[in-house]
Amino acid sequence: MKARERIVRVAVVAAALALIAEAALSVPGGADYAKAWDRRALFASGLVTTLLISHGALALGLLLGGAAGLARSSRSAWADQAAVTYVEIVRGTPFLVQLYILYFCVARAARLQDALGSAEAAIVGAVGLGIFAGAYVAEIVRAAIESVDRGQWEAARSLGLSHGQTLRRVILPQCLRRMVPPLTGEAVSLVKESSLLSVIGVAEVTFHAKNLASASYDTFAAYLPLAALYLAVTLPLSWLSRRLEARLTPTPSLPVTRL
Amino acid sequence: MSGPLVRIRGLRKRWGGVTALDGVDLDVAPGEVVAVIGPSGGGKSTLLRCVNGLEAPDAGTVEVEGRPVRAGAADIDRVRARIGMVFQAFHLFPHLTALGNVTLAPRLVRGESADAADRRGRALLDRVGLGDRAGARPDQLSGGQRQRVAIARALAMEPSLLLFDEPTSALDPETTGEVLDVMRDLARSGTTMIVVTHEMAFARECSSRTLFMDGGRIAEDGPSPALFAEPRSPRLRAFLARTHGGAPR
Ligand SMILES: Nc1ncnc2c1ncn2[C@@H]1O[C@H](COP(=O)(O)OP(=O)(O)OP(=O)(O)O)[C@@H](O)[C@H]1O
Ligand SMILES: [Mg+2]
Repeated sequence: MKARERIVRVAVVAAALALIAEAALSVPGGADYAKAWDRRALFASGLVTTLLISHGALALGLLLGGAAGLARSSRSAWADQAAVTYVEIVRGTPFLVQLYILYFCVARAARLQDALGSAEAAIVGAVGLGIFAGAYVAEIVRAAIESVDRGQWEAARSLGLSHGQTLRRVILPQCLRRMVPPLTGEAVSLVKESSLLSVIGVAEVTFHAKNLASASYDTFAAYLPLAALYLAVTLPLSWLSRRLEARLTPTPSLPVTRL
Repeated sequence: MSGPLVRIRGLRKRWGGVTALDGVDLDVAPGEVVAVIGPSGGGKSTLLRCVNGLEAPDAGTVEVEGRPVRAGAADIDRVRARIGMVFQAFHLFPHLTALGNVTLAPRLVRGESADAADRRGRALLDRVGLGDRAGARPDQLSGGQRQRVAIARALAMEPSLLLFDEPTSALDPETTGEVLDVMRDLARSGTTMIVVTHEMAFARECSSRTLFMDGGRIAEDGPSPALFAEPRSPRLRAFLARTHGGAPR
């Protein structure tokens, strides 16, 4: 069955690639991929910028999201409500709108350009992306914490462990593994989302593709290679996620309660 | 210590329209082994959970060793550390070994060194007959073994009071015996215990006192042999008849 599955998978992927290649090569008017190849240095530096921004944003998102997710399960109503507010506002508005507000309103008002110079857009963009991702990370963390059986809390607290000790030593060790697959998924989203930073002039990879498209009017030659570059980053991440998920899935245990 | 170990006055708890506890008064003296029996929904678990503050009553007070037990109070962790609890579903920590389960609280709460906690932990696992399974994970243990680890885990805090909520209800008849044996030893060694149970044989033979809870009240309370031999209320008589009068299973 495993072998059959593999054959099917290879066949489908090959068919899809053939279709895409056929479409890419038989573009009406013809696409001049040499133009993209001429700009390969720009594409490469753009991809590096994309990866750097994604890394920074992921780090910030994990930090913010971790804090907000923990706040959701804290006993402080203030921390909980602050986290809810953050998550709801961020998840309730489009990232593009958040980016515009952050860059054209907040950063301008704070005169960040004076401090950051030409890196302003990239840094503001990465921070914006981190804030955006943090809201989703917070939900991942909260869901993972809530997925742990209430009995674990009760057993730990009945032994005299504090709320914080229970969280650190009993609950989180059990749900970190459950967070890995959705967090990897969030990292994939983040890489794709970072393409929106091109609208505020960050020279990441989509920015260079757009420049090529508007200079040459050859959209295929600009965007098909771009898609391939994103896939080159996201597919390994997805693959890694699946590997981790398989590795981390605990062996099914005996039924605990009968009733 | 003079006075009761557990002192409960006027305990009430409602869930929406359901009355779980309807005015419970109870004193438990040090060394007593109290069995709590009664029909489902009678409030047995709620009473037990109020004793260590897992549940907050609507009214009434609980004191253990003279200290008030209040869910959410600043000193609740210190009070709980003196009260062991064993659950029907064990609730072992799945990411820790049997020994890790037993030593976690002594190390975190009492600040014991790893060496000291391990030494005591192994002795406790020995005591419940699991000295050779110290390194096993909970999912590698049978139900009866898990529950014995859970008992050792509770004992590791050297509690002055042990609470059991149907400790054998999730177990096969074969493994029920090994858990009851451990509890019987504890009862003989003078540990103060409150045991909610459907094991009438255990209640009758191993407890010094039995409470019959019905409708959120303690409907009958007396020395176990007398209570089983001469139930006063028709409700208890009917209950005992339904549960085969506590005949050995
Ligand atoms: N968390 C809860 N939410 C709502 N109702 C509850 C809750 N816990 C208990 N109750 C209700 O309170 C009443 C008493 O429940 P309790 O669990 O104390 O009974 P019990 O004597 O332990 O019963 P059993 O033998 O079935 O375990 C029941 O009617 C139950 O449905
Ligand atoms: Mg119950």
